[in-house]
Amino acid sequence: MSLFFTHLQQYAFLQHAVLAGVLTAIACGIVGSYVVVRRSTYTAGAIAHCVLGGMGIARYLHHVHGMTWATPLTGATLAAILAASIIAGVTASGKQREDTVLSAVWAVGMAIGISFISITPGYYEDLLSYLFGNILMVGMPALRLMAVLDLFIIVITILFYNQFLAVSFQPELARLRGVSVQIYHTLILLITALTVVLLTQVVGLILVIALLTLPAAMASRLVHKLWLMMLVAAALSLVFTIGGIALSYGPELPAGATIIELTGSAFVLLIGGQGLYHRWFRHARSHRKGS
Amino acid sequence: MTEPVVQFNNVCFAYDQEEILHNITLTIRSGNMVAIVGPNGGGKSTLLRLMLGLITPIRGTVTLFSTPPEFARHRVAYVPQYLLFDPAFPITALDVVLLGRIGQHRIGAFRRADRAAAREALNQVSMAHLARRSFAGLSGGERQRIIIAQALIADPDLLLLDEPTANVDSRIEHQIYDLLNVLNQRMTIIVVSHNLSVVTRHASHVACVNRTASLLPLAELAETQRAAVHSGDMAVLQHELSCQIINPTESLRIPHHSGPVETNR
Repeated sequence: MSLFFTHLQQYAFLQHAVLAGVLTAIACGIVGSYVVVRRSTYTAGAIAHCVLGGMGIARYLHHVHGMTWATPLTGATLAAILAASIIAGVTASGKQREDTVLSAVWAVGMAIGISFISITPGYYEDLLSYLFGNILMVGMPALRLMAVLDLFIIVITILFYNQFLAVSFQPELARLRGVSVQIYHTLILLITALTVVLLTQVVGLILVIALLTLPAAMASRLVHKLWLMMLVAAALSLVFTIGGIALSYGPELPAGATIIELTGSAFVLLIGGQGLYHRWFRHARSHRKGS
Repeated sequence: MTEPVVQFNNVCFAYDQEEILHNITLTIRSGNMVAIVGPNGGGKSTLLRLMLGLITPIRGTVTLFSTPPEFARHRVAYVPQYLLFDPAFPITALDVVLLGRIGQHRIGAFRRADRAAAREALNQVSMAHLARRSFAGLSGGERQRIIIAQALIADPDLLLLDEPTANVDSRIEHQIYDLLNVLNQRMTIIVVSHNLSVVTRHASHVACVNRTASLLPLAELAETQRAAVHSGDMAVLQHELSCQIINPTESLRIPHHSGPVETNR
């Protein structure tokens, strides 16, 4: 821990990692809250895994065809937006079972990614960093893109907070009052996709769901307003991200995995603690009544 | 005659193959308070959904304020049957009420006037003290009244309620119907209910819906029927009403249309 704080003042890569933690925590708090209250974890999971396809194609174009703009991050962003559009289009038509379509997006996206990675010459180590993330490798261009995505998510959420609330809580009311459920549903999917891309930088695409849902799920047990839930979830995910980096830094553990383990432990502690508190509280009350 | 608010003209509706409503023709006028009664599965909720234009008839036309329902929705508020709310959704009672004004602002936050209207609506349903409470933590009856308040802040000309007292005790039920009588002075009200004795005491008209339907002013009920109404004897009343209003087996035999078919699809 102390090594982390000493090195934080010396090394730019650690400062970048902390900055990445702050940027992802904001998106994570806002969008994670939507994912949790709308119960769309599986949608987020499908988008996250599909992102591998975009990363694989981008890496192939970069190495084989020399397209320098095709970085894993741009590939991931495009793939996530494409996945969100497919999911939005299919759910709008209402003709297919939603979870079937999500499974298809999930698996086909990954398959495309694996194929392109295998035909691209070079080391496979990149693959591991896509799957599990590497917050210590985030550079300045990635940070800039993350800041832009964050800004977009914040502006959209401030402008359409009430519309998002209506279509998530009472879609039929929204429809009767002339609010397009489809448009706002698609917008929420879009910002979910962008957030997934941000989070893959930190914890990788496999662990994204945990960082997206657990801080928001904890926040929902503590507060009863959606915007408060977003703030609390953002604060919690900031603590877990920075905490995870700091804990993993000394013993050279993988940062992404440590962040998720820390988040998961806190989640279990909160649920267990609340359970014990309520049981004790009820017990004390019934005891008082009995005497 | 006052302005027609809801008009059904030879309306039939079916989910897939099964016909739910058959040849419905009725007119509900401004200022009426109509109770829709009938057996489960008889098509009561379907009738409301047709009025809102949430579903379209397979035959016939439905008009709301003399236009297709989609164009008159801003004049209508709808209180659905016991809502399938996510009990874990983080939202306060006041915020639920405010959503009633969601159609009025395309962008940004609610205004101060909206908040004032929401508090006023909460006052009307005697729920102002619960404004800041979590909606999920309220009882069924409290939630129902919050949803009525949500309908009220849209300032509708027509209020539709689907079983608004299904989850409340009889004291709250009377409070809700007393409130509806007050509201009826400024808006037309249509309420679906299973409790005949209560609704017929408060309503001006009753419609018994069981695949077919027609509307009957309560003032024209014969003495025996009114006695049935006040004793709340469901079996007697249903028999009396259905004999007076319609002969179900007879009306179901009426073919869909003899003339050219009109639809508003």
